[in-house]
Amino acid sequence: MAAREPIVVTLSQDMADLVPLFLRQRNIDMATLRAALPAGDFEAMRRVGHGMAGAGASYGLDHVSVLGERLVVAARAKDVATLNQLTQELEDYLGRLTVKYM
Amino acid sequence: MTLRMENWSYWRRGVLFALLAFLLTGLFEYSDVFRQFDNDLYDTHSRFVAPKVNFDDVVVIDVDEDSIAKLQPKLGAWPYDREVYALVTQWLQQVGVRAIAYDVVFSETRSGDVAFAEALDQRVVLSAAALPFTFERDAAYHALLRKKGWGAAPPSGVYALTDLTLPREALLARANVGVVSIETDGDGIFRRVPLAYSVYGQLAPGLSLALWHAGPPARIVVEAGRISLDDRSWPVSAHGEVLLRFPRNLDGLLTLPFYQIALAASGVTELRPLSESLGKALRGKRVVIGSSSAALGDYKQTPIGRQPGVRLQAMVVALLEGGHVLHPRSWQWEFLLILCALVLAVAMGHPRWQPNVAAQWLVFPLVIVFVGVLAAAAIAGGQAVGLLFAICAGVLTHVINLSYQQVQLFRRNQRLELEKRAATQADALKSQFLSHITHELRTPLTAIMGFNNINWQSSDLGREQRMKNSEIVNRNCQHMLALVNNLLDQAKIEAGQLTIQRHPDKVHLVIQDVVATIEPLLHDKPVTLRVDAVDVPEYLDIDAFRLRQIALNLLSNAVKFTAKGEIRVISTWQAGTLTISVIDTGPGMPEDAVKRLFTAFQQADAGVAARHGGTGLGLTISRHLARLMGGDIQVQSTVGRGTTFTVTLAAERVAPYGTERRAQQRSAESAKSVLHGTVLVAEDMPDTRALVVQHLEQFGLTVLQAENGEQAIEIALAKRPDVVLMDMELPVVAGVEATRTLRMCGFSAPVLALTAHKGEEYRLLALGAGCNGLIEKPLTRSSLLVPLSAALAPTVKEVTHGGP
Repeated sequence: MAAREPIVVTLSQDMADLVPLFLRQRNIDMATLRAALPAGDFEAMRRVGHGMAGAGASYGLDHVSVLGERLVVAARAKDVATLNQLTQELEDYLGRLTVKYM
Repeated sequence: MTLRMENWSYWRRGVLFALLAFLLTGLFEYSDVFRQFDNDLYDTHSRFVAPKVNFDDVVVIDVDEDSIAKLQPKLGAWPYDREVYALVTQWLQQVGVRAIAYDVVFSETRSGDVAFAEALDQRVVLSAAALPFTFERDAAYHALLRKKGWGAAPPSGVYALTDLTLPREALLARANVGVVSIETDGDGIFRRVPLAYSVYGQLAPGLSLALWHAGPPARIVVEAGRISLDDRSWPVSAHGEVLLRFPRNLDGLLTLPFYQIALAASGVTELRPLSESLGKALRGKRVVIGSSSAALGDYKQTPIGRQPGVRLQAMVVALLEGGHVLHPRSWQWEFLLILCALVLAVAMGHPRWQPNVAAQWLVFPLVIVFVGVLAAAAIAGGQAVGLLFAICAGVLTHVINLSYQQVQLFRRNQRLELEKRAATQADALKSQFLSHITHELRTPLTAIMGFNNINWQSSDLGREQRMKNSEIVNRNCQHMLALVNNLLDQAKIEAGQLTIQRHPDKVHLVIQDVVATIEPLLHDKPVTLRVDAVDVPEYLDIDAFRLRQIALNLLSNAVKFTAKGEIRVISTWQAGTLTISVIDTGPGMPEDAVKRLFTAFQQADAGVAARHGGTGLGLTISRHLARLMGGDIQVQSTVGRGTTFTVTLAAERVAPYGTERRAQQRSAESAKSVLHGTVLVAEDMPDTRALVVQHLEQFGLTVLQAENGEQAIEIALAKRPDVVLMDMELPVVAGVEATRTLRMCGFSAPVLALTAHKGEEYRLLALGAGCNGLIEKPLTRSSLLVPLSAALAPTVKEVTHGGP
């Protein structure tokens, strides 16, 4: 597997207090997705996607919104394969994400 | 000069006015009127502080009309035989008078001279008359003068005479000489008298001084400003004159008729009682014998009225004895008095002491009384001072000061009048503006209400028609929002609160964005839109939000007015200046229309608004923004060929940062503490809620929070916030339901829907539930600030909820 390159995002200093809350929420989302996938709880996964779509770009992390929107679409279509892939993508993104402030 | 003087302090101006008054009075001083008035004022004033003089020491024996009449039968007509004087002199010596002065010039030979000469002694002073011409005098005259003079005259300090008529030499064997010369001032008033005279190099005392001395010649010491004799000293002028303080009790000077003395001296037995009482009255006194008769008297005008010379001689003796003489007027004292008057006039003229105009007039009497009191004190203290200069200078200072203040007042009134006129004009413009903007707001509002009613009341509309109507409603809402935003921008510009936020940004992205927004407006017009950029760096330090606003305005205008042909957008950059030109092939404008273009609410012609809509604010705001960014907007237009708008903006090349952030977000970043009110945020996602709360708090808003729809209803009804931000997908009770419930409960404040869903149906759903607007996620500062500003502005609320 290729070395995972960090994704560096620069945000305003104003966001410094809020970003930990955002990341904690994404960890909760990850846990929800992991639990909902085997249970086939598509509504729970749609809600996670909807929440990510709303929050991501609001924080300046546009990729989270993109993943969220794709989660919503996949959950509605009950497309388990895509949901699985998106969950992994989110995990990978959060693992590589480094937030800088200026 | 006047302009600069307005910035001067009061005191600095006061000094200038005082100096001016001093110079003007100085010019006036050279006029005869001034001198006359100065003397009169001085005399009047001296009378107020006239001393009471002790006349016990002096007696006048007056050859008055009555005496001449009574002595006519015995002695015949005047001049009398000198034996009469011999008898009188002997009798006076017998009764023990201290000294006798004859104010009669015995210059010619007369019978009885021998007896008279024998009666005379060192205590008798005979008059020598001062003459204003030079005679050929023989050696005997000069010898006599040397013999009877009181030594050699000093070169200066005494009154110089050209000539002197001496009494007959025979009479001067034992008697002394006293010079009689009553000098008057230019106005003919007698105020001063020389104490000693110099004539042909000899020093001679005045008659009064000689009588006061009452003895053989002594040494008269003449110094600068003083003449001393015996153990007394008097202040004198440069010419050796003393300035007299005229008494207020001259009637206390004992005057005896000559005939009584002549009768007493004749030794008539029946008159012995009279003779004895006269003798008693005269014992030890200094006696002046002269005449006040109409024919012989030598009358002079004085500050205390017309007086015969004989009485004035006696008076001078008493004044010398009592020390009632003044130091002559000197510039030092006069200047001090003038300075006091000027200081008082300037000090009392200060507006601080002047509550009203009447008080300003009181300064005049105040200055006059002040100078009067000071001058009185000086005269009482032995120093003569003139009052007129000080009074004139003081009064004139205040006149100039008052005039200046009046001129200022007049100017201020004029300015106020102009300001009032301008305010009235502004008021009229504002009314015009209000009616204009009301019309602008009412037009889309009518459409909104009309189509909304159709959708609401018609049951047989198909879904397509309903959507079409909703689209019209939406378009009109957008137009109203744009209008309100423009108005807010205009208000900010007018209040000077609009600031420019520069950040590194990609200009080509901004232009692309604007073009993408505008393109749909071209519909199927045969117009091509071309975008070119030459030498524009990737990142420029620029306010992208405001750049977008300007570009959008210019480009939408171009699209609006161009029916066919081409619209080109050309961006270039050179040495820190970004130039963007928008060139169209529209109808163009005549020159006068171009001139009106940048005036608020002015469009090229009245029909434009009717045909194309618009607020008439866009270009005004754009030009303001361009100027705030260190540039401007220029227009070139040819009727029939098209128009070119060229924007220049100062923009330095910079390195990038924050690639994921939006230009809009940044521009709103500094918008802190700009709003007031309470906002309820109903959002279940904690991270999104926290972000919104932070933004709102930075805007200066008070924030309430709800995690679900049920909480949102409870808090909204209990706390009555000014605005509710309602997420549409809340747990427990959904946002749509919660909003509907609030409206049913009579909650009337604006509710703005928050949603991550894109698409018209969600918007309609939210508006249908009773939301006033919709904010799509992602939520940025500006995406929150703009609708919140509109929702919290009172006029907007009224338009939204009120309406006819």
